[in-house]
Amino acid sequence: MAIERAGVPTVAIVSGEFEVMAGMIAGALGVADIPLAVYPGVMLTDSAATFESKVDEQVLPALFDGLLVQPGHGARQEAAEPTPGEIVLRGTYDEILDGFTDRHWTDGLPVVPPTAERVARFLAHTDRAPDEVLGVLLPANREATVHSVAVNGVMAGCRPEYLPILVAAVEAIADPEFRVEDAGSTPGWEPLVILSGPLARELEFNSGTGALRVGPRANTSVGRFVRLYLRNVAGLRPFPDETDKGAIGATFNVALAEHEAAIRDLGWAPYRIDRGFTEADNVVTVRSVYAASAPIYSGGARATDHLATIARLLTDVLGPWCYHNFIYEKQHPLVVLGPAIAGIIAAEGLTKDDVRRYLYDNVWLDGAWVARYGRNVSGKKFEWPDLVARGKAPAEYADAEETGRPVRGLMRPDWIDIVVAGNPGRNQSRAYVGNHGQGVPVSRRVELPTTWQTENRSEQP
Amino acid sequence: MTEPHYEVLWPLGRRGGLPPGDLARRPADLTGKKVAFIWDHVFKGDLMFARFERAARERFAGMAFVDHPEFGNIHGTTAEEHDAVARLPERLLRHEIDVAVVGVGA
Repeated sequence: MAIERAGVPTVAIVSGEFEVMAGMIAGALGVADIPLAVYPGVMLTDSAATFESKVDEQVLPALFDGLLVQPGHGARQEAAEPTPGEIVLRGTYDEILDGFTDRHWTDGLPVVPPTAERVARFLAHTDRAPDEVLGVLLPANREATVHSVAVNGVMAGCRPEYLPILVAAVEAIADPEFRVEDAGSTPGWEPLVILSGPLARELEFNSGTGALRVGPRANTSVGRFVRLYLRNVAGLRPFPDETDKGAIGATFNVALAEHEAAIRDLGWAPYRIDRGFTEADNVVTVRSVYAASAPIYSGGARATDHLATIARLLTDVLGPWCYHNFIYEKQHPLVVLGPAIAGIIAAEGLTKDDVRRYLYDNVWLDGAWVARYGRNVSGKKFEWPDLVARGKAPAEYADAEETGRPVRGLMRPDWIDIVVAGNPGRNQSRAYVGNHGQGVPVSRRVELPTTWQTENRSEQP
Repeated sequence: MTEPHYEVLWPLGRRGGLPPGDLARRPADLTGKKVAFIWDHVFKGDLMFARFERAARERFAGMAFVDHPEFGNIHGTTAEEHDAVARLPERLLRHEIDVAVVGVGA
């Protein structure tokens, strides 16, 4: 698009499975008829002979056509769309649900009808203007507004008083650093909302047993809201739009609330301080996760007994996916530390930074496996000597594929998220992996309205 | 008892930020034209570019090609990606590019 807008005719090569997606995104960005040269099939599994044949017989002709044949009008006239605040459907509950389903405005589950009255109750929980634009979300190129946050919050089954949290979550998603436009990439990562602050307890978020399980309305509806918002405003849907290409994907994560009481008892700084905020703040962080470790049952009298087990299972879940450390240079794992385990660690005088340093020092992967896997992901060149020559890997990694020498799995200690939550009566933690530079943790302070009262609970919406 | 009826609001948002635009005017042929290869460093794009260059040279005289390193990596680190895209217009102009082949989405 940038090239076409610079006045240079362009043709884009895509694989067949991504042709519809390319067209949808091009249309949303105002260049609907941009030519595509489609490679049929899976280029990474085709033999060299098949690859060459497909390129010569199908891709090359399309490239020439795309550069020489004037496409249709790039600025396709889009059907008139509703305006924010406009009533789009009228009917019984079943008629509304069917209508939303037909228009791909649901996530496959029943939604709460977003009537003007319900939306207004949400908007009463913010001082911000309904039409305030929080950002423009790609790939659909749609404005994220306080109003649409409220509409989707109603649909997700949130309570009106969750609106400030929802707004903060969308602000985080709209931050260019988050890269929402990549939330439909093939790894199939899923956003996770982390709430740190006294608001979690006030609004009855669960941070104990089942911290990441559906059930509690607060955690569940806020998590659901994020996925609904990504579908409806960011435009990420696996079918029929095909703008979400998560190959297998995952389902929405319930929001994770930090165990405020446990953190206080430990004498550790809460997560929001790790993220650069103050003790008094309520902070929403949104980040990508796509894989969870096996349950990390740790034991022993010493902190290092537990840390060794955590490091081992973090290593296992990270695996050769750490190849991206040397390509995309971002990696933010998450450790959800059981309160009892955190207690043992803290009792020895260790801080979260000590935990981070231990994990950083003790997560290593087989260099040969990382290289082979790295080439599988997208056919990208991944050779240790080349990475060393370009300054992307330490010199001592040059022979890592031949020798299988260990390569470091984590990039920076301060990039390891640690959140204390979970069953306080068990010795379990969990480790999660994010999708390199896509969905890096982005945090926003929750802005409460001036009318907010502690123990704020609205009537049943 | 009459079933409740609802009037519901739109959950999407206005299109914003990027106005629609016409596509660039295509040349009549590629004789003497300069082609940019712009790559995301994945999915064998470099191999496809090479085959296109060979075929294009056979078909049209006087073509020139500017390979992908001149335009950066459009799917590298976040900083690399943003920089590459932001500098595309300037680099296309500097190299006097007539047409571009971009890849690969997969």
